[in-house]
Amino acid sequence: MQLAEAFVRHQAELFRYAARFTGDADLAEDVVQDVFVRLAERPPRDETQLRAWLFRVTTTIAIDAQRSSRRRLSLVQARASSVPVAQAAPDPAESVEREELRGRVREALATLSEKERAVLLMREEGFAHREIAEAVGTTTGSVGTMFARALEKLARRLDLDAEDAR
Amino acid sequence: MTTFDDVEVVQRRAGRLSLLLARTDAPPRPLVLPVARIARAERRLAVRWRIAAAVALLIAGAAGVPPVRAWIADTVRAAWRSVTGRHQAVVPPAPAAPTVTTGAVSFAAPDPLTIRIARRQTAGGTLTIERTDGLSVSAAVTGEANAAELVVGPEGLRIVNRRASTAGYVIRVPAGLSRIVVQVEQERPRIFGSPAAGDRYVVDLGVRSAPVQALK
Repeated sequence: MQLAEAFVRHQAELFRYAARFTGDADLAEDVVQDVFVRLAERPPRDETQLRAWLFRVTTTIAIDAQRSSRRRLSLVQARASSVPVAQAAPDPAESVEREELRGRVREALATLSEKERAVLLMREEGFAHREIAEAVGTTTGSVGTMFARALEKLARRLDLDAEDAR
Repeated sequence: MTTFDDVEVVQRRAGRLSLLLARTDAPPRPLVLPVARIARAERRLAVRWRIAAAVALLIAGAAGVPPVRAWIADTVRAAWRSVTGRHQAVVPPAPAAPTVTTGAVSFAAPDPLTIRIARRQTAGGTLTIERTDGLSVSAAVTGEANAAELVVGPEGLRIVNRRASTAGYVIRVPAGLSRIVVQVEQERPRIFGSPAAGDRYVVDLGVRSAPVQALK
């Protein structure tokens, strides 16, 4: 597959994953671009595994980028209102509520370890446990456990067990 | 132990988290492929490959020069003596035939890739197609200075050689190509799949030669 074709096909989902992983859309954009430079430099040997390879590299680069820009990240986290709005809400109250929710989700994800976050978010992108295990460097058997543990942590912070949770 | 209730709880939480994530995602951005950075990266790769080729040629060439060959042989003998503690005749490896690279070109691979050779060569010569892990095609002329021009076009590479050329041509192609079309003069084009790891295709360019061999 040509590089441009791979970019068109995968950039949106990689951006979504990186933005969720880092909590920073600007950083996520840089991460995705770095991923495709890496693809040009050192493409995977098995092209049938390209999507898993892209997410694995995104995870690695996102972790490195996040560690090297902690100061920037903390500034972004401190300014919850600076996070881009998903879509223009006609109702200001709804907009505020959405922003508040976004901040809570981001903070909750930030409490997870990098491995837990990768497991949770890669599963969200539809990957099999085997592929997730390869990406985060663990066994297939422990992926389910890590996923359940991560959900348990988020459930407390985000009220996922509440009857009216949506 | 995992119970049915546990599974149900995990599934319910996962479903609710999916909804939350979708509601709070950053808006999609019109990302742009970093073409300039990728081009720089590919140039760096090409430069590394050329440096490696130049070093290999230098070593091969130096081994062909008697004083250097003698020095290598002495060094090997000395090393052998220091290991074994005794004098022993060591036969230095036969020097590789000096190879002259007279032209090289690298370009983004179209798929399918077409390679046209203008003429068969009276004195022989080969076109060798090998696999590379990069994304570019690289081509090099070996064995004779000014033997041919390498012309890159939208569908691939044209080797404009002379009937009297004695050069060989080495083309390295990315692994992901679906087809490689080789046409010598106006003969029927030959179509190859992209070589697997370790494979290479050799096309004999001699005037009276048989066409193609696939080597492992």
